[in-house]
Amino acid sequence: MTENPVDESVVAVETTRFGRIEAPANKVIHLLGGLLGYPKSQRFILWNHEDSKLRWLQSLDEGSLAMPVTDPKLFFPDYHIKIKRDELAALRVTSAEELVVMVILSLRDDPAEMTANLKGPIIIHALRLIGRQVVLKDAPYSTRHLLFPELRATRLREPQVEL
Amino acid sequence: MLILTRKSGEMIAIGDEIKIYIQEIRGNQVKIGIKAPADVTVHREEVYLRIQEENRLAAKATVEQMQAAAELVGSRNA
Repeated sequence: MTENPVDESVVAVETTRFGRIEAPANKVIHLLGGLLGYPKSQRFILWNHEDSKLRWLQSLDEGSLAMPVTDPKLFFPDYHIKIKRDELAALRVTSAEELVVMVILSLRDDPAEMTANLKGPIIIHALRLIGRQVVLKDAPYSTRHLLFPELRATRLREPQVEL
Repeated sequence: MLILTRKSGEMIAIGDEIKIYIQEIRGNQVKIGIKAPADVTVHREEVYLRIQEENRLAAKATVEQMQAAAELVGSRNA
């Protein structure tokens, strides 16, 4: 069998975190308008970190751009978002089953300090893999929700210096 | 930057699809209506900046921070 020199079913990108990665074309997620602040990146792939509940959303247009994401229901079971009809229409989402919601995480050196941006989730059409970052207008969410508030509270109560 | 003077009730058209309507002017507050296609996002600037700032912070994540976070969070199959 001869190898195809240009494999169009794969998108290759040189990343700063993972070296060269190859994304199957049918796994590429198109985010309309990109992520706020990064309009030039529109093509992404979900890149697993081992079998963690956290994954990377890696840009295929800018190798240095990747953000940790997760399924908000795993950490915020009451998380409920309302998306405007015209925003859903732009993704051609017609039922809730077609919609995948992810939230972006901000990590810090102390993992107990990591936060999720519940104000600006990413919504994706599960089959078409077209999505966008939306800004929730009248929702009681902020850009920084601790994933482990109890853990952080405990640590803050611990004495910083042992006498 | 283009500067226009408008009275309450007047509009501004941007291209064919975007209309900005000055609904009410009261003291130092202006109530503005915006009509734009669904693929054009409209935000108050401060909200937009806050999300942008959070995206920038999220994009700084290192593989080491991810490793520590993943250990705390656990695996999908657990």
